[in-house]
Amino acid sequence: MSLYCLDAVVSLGSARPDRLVHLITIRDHVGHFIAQLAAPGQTAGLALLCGLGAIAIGVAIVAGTLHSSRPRLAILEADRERGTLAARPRVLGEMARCLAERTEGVTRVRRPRLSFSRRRRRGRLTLRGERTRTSDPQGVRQSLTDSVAPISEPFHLKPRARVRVAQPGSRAQ
Amino acid sequence: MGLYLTAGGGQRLEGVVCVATKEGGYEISLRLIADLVPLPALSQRVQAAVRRAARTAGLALSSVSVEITGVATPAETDGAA
Repeated sequence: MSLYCLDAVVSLGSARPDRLVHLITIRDHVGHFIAQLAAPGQTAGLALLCGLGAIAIGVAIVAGTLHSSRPRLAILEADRERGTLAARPRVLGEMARCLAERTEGVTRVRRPRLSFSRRRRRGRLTLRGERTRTSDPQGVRQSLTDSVAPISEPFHLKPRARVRVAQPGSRAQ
Repeated sequence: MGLYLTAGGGQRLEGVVCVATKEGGYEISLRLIADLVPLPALSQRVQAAVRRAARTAGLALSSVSVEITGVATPAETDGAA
């Protein structure tokens, strides 16, 4: 591009890129086909279909590369020699919920949210619960995060709890 | 467990995949449904038990991977017992 801009000011003559790589000669060979592509007709339609097909294949390849079909795992231990110890995040979520539901002052625990780092060696475990009106919110939050320690510590998950006052009629622990 | 199984010797072992490596050993992968128990200890015990069984059978293992894919509900646990 810069050479063509320069050519507009100072004529490059035979040093112009298209002349250096003999594009004019190549055009003599492929010009007929290019003219068919440019003109409406069967060849142009076929080229359009091929182009759209190539774009679709490209999009599928990129999507397949970015979205791995392998199940997402929380890695406990990964060693080439010994093997991998891992668990599905859903399993950890269910276990964390069971542990959290035993917390005193908690009436309900929603399904915990788990997010992991790129290498899945650490992450965050977010608990959302409801507490009784008389319980101390800070204390319940602390008890909730402590209750999931058997899950959060070995899997290097940072626990975080959000609690709100339960609706009237909720079951107390 | 889907198609995650190994068939051989007239048996179908669901949740187990065994692959021979070019070094001559075997890679074992297990997918388990666990009870509400400490997962690190469970995984390590399973790994150790598989290695022990392979040693007894005279098989060389290169790696043993354990993946916990589900949690058994109390009803399922009682039913199994």
